[in-house]
Order: sequence, then C-alpha cells, then structure tokens
Amino acid sequence: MLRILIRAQVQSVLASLTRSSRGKGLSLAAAGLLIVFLAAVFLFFFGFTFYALALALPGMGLGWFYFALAAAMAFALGFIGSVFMAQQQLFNARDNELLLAMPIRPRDILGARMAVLLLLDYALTLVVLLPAGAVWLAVAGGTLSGVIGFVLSALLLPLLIMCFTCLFAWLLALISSRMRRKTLITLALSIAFLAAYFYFYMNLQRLLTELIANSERIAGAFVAVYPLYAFGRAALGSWPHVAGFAACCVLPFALVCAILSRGFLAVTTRRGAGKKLVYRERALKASGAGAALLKKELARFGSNGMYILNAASGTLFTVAAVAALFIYRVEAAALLAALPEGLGAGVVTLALCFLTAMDFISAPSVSLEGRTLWLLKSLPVPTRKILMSKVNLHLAVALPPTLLASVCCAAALPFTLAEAAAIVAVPALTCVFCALLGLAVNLRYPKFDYINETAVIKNSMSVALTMFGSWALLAAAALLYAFALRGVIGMTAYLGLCAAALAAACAGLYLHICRGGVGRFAEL
Amino acid sequence: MLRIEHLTKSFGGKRAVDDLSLRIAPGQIYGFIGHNGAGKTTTIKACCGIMSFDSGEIYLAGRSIKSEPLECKRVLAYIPDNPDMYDFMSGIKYLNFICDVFAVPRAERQERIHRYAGLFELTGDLAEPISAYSHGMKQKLAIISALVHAPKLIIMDEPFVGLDPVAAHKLKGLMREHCDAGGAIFFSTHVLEVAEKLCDMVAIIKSGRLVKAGTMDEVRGDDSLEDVFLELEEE
Repeated sequence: MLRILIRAQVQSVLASLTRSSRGKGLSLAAAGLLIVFLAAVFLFFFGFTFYALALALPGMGLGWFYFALAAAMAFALGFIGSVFMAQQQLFNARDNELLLAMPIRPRDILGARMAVLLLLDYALTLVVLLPAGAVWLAVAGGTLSGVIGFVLSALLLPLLIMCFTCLFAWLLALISSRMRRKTLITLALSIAFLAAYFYFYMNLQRLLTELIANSERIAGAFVAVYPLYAFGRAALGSWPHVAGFAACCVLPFALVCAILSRGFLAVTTRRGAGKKLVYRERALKASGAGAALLKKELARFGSNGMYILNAASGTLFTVAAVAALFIYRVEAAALLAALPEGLGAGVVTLALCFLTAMDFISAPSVSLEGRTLWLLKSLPVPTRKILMSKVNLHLAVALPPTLLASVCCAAALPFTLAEAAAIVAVPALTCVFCALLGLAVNLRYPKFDYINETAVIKNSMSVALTMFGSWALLAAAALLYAFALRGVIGMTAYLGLCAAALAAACAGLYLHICRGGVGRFAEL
Repeated sequence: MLRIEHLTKSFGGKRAVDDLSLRIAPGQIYGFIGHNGAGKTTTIKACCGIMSFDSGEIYLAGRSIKSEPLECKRVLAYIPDNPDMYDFMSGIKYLNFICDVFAVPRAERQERIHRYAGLFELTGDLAEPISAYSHGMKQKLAIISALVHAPKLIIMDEPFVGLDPVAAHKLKGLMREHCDAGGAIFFSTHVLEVAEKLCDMVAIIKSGRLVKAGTMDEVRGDDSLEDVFLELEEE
C-alpha cells in the first residue's frame, strides 16, 4: 500500500511540474532543464562560499568545522525549502479525507507524503553538500575513509532535517487549525525566513571574513552542537562519529515518525477554529460588477499566504528596495556616477523591471478558480470583464509599488527629465505586460486537477513560463543594447523604444485575451 | 420560458445529448429524470451557458443562449449538483457579491437576504467563511444566492442532495411559490417520489435522447413514475 501511495505522490509532483489540466504541458526535459538551471545557480553560490572556507580552515586544523558549516547550511536550506510544503502536503492536502476514508492506515498516508518530502530534502541537501565535498577534494584533498564518511553522513542528514521540518509543519498545522488569521501567521513566518536569508546573502562576504577570523571561537561553540560536530568529524573519516551522527539522525527520525503517525488523524480531521463568528445584519455596500469581481480576486489573494509570498514577491522586494534607496541614497548615487554616462538610467530601469517581473499574480489566477469555475461562467458578465478582473488584481497589487519605486529612483538620483520619464514608464509597462502575459499563458495552460492551491502557485507551468519568459525578455533587451546597439543609439532613446515595444506588446496581448482568450475561457 | 430545440452535444466521439427538444412554460416546475450519465447535467449546463453545444438552439425568455448569453444569464439562476463556492469568502460577502454582479438594488438585497437566510436558518452563520460550512449549509447558500436576484427561470441540478428534511420541505414550498408568481423551474433529480409530487411536467432522458416528456399524468398514466422510469430503462 505504501508503495502505491508513494507512486501516486511522486506522479502528482511530476504532473504538477510538467502537465496542465488540458493535457498540454511542459515536457519532462524542459522541466528538467529548469531544475538544472536553478541547481546550477545554487551550486555556483555555495561553491564560491565553500572555496573561501576551504582555503582558510584546513590550515588552522579546523577541517571538521568546514563540514559542520556545510551541514548547518544544508540543514537551513532543507528546512526553509520544505517546511511550508510539508505543512501543505502532510496536513492540509485536499485528498486527506478521501484517503482516510479508504482502508489505508493513516501512517501509510503519512509515510508516502514523508517519503516525497524526504526526496525534496535530499535534493536540497545535495545542492549544498555536493559543492562542499567537491571543493574540499579539489582544495584540501581527501582520504577514502573521509569520502565514505562524508557520503554516509550526507545520506543521513536529510533524516534529521525531516525531523525538524515535520515537527514544525505539525506545529504550524496545529496552530493554524486553531486560529482564524492563518494568512497572517504564514506571512509573518515566511517574511522572517526571507529577511534572515537575505540578510545572510547580502552580508555573505563580511560574515565569511568574520567567520574565518573567529573560526576557533565559533568552532568551539559548534562542538557543543553534537550532530554538527559529529558530521564534521565523520566527513574526515572518523568512524565513531559516523556512528554517533547516524544515531543523531535515525533515532529522532523514528521518534518523529511515531509521534506524527499518532497525531496525524487528530490534526488532519480537526475542524473549526476558535469562537464562531455570529452575523449581525447591517447595511450592505453595493458596487458594480467590475468592482465586485476585483474585490473577489483581492479576497482570494488576501486569503492565501502562499499566493502573496510567491506571486507578489516582486512587490515585497520593491518596497524593500525603496526603503534601501532612502538609506543608501548617497552610495547609490556614487555607484551610478561610476557607470559610463547614460548607462545609469538603463541599470535602474532594468532593476525595477526585474523586480516587477518577479510578480506573477495573474499567472495562476485562472487555475485557482478550480471547482468554482462554473460560478464565473454562469454570471451575466462579459468574459472580457471577468478576465480583466484578474489582470486588475495583478495591477492593483504590483503597479503602485512599482510606480512608487520608479518615482523615488527618478527623484532621489541624478537623472535628466527624459531619463526620469523612462524610469517611470518602462517598469510600469513591464508590470502591465507581465499581468497580461500571465493571464494569457494561464488561459493556454490551465491546471485544475491540483491537490492544494500551493501546487498551482508554486509549480504550475503558467507560472514558470510567465516568470522565466518575462525575465528572458528583459535579459534579451539588456544584452541587445550591451552587445549590439550601444554604439548606435543612446540609452534614453533605447528606453523609449523599449517603452514603445512594451506598449505594443501589451496592446497585442490585450487584444489576444479579448478575442482568443475569451473563446479559450468558454472552452475550459 | 425555456425552449430547447434539437440540442446535440458530443464529447469525443460519444453523443452525450442527442437531438433533445423541450419547452418549459412560465408557471411550470419541470422535472428532468435519467440514470447517471444520461445527459442531464450536460443539458442543464448547456441551458445555463456554461457549456457550448454542437448543434441545436436554446432560448431563454425568447433569447438565444448562443447569441445573447448575458441577457439570458440575467434572468436565470443555476444551482449545480455540487455547490462549490468561494471558500475564502464569508456567506454574506458571497451573497453580496452575487447581488453586485446581478445589480440587485441595496434595499432589495437586504430584504431578500434577510428573508431567505432566515427561512433556511442560515442568518447566524453568514459571517463564517464558506470553508467552514457543511455540505448542507453550502447547498442552502447556493439556493439563497439563486433566489436573491429574483430570476425568472431557476435551473437546478439535484437540488435536494445534502438538504435536511426541513430545508427540503421549505425549498419545495419556494419552488411552488416561484412558479405561481410566473417563474419557471427546470431541475434534475433521482428522487422520483419528489418529482412525482412536485412537478407539473416531466422529461425522461436515456443515453442522451429524450424518451418521454409531458405532463405528469401523461408520462406515468396509471402507473407510478418509478414504474414508468424502470420500464423505460429496461427497454
């Protein structure tokens, strides 16, 4: 039974990556390429980090600390990368009740879901430990027992990560099943994780220098965290520490499995949260159909923390960028002044465009209708208006911060009037373009057979195509200027051409949605 | 009120509805009966403008659903067999949303929501999110949302599923009231006793084709509706 459930889980994950509901989807090869690209980015990032550490630590006799740091990083990435998915997969999956009604032991359902999460943890761990191991071998060399000890410990580490992931996910599910403001909790926790990640990322160089300078003192603190210390020693070929680390991973993992299988039924079948809200009649506000549809879209967006965090991450970063601009205004101006004349406007515009292109709010919006699609189709509202409400949601969320950031950049930094106009216009048009593109792609590749909404928001093809497609277009525009047009046309004129091209693309997409998109929506 | 003329709809190579014609006059409760997969839901969805069809025509209050879908939908309410609504909204926000879309004036929406929610004993739950509703509560909310915009024609797919006996009784009363006021109702059901007691007209569909239609007396003759249905199924 467990095998059947695992197979179904794996198929579901693969399908979410490669297939839309109507059969047309990304090929397995294309999905694989996407994963390889992302893995390469991470491998490069971690490779750089470990290279700096591998040069310094072995000479100080702190080789074990190198591997302990690698384990800590793998732990952090694995935990952050899988905890919310664990909550959705283990405790909030739409088919939990269906499976629980079948003659299947709850622990088998849990086991199948944990197996898939474990695979994800292995993948995330590999992204950190592979460059760590390779860099160590290249820089410091290694022994056979060390390699075996490292490989064994690397295979065991995801079990330890799973313990914390599952327990935290269980805690989240327990808290959220008792609370009304689930979105707020998810948002607060996720933003805290993101802030910590970006703090680490932005200060990587300084942290690395400090780490190497104070490595003996920090290593002393690491000794106190036995699993990390054991991992470090095991990776250098110490067999007692391999056994010790195995005990640190396997025993807690078994304990967590036992605890979760006992509590699984209680958490998944918990209903109702807190005190019941009693309706007291009051005057209702009336609005037009268009406004009602937009309010409905906003309500859906606001009710789902995953939707906000994933699809509106560009907006969050744009707001952060505006704050950073005010803090580092002088440094930013100096940086721009160092660039060749005229290039500053292009760099700022490109950065703002990339930020707004990180928003893909409209890309899963049709898929998210799911089982309620009948409702929209039965309303006496033109389909064009229904579809535009999804574009308007994207614009309502993403356009104001984009405009604010553009205006702040144009005002705070030394630009000419024409450059300032381009800095405001091009990102705004990119935002409109992304909104329209997301909707058009989602109409082409909708996905309605999802287990939970996170699968559509994070893994669906329309989202991947919209985000990477718009990024690719921006990169192409930048490269075209850098390598072909730089000597031919000035930056301001080029930005003007980009604005015209974007306006034309927006008009084309709008017409496509109003004609082909309307027909496509009727077919869904 | 509703005129279906030679409706045909295929999925792949299979005809789900085959040359089906029906007429429903104002004041009539029209029952639509058939086994699972007979083509009831396909016909109903085609009538509501949710599903396109291959050939034939459907007229609502004299207007074609093909060429004037919005005008048709304005006088129509549809209650699906599975009341999936916006889980992220509260009951009252959902009803207000429907009223906004159907442009129901404020005073009227207030009065109708008060009346129908009170009738189905749902008033106290309207502040709760729909995700917290039971299947029966969702069904009641779907019925209220169909009634708040005072449609001329109500099309229902298995409307009694999930309703408690009291709510089912009230719904039957409302259906009669609606038709007595000049409206019409077209609904599918598997509960033949309900159809027999409630319907003025009945149609039986089998493998996409209409096999019998008429007044209740014409269709059942001296037998019960169940006997007639089973006999037709065996043929």
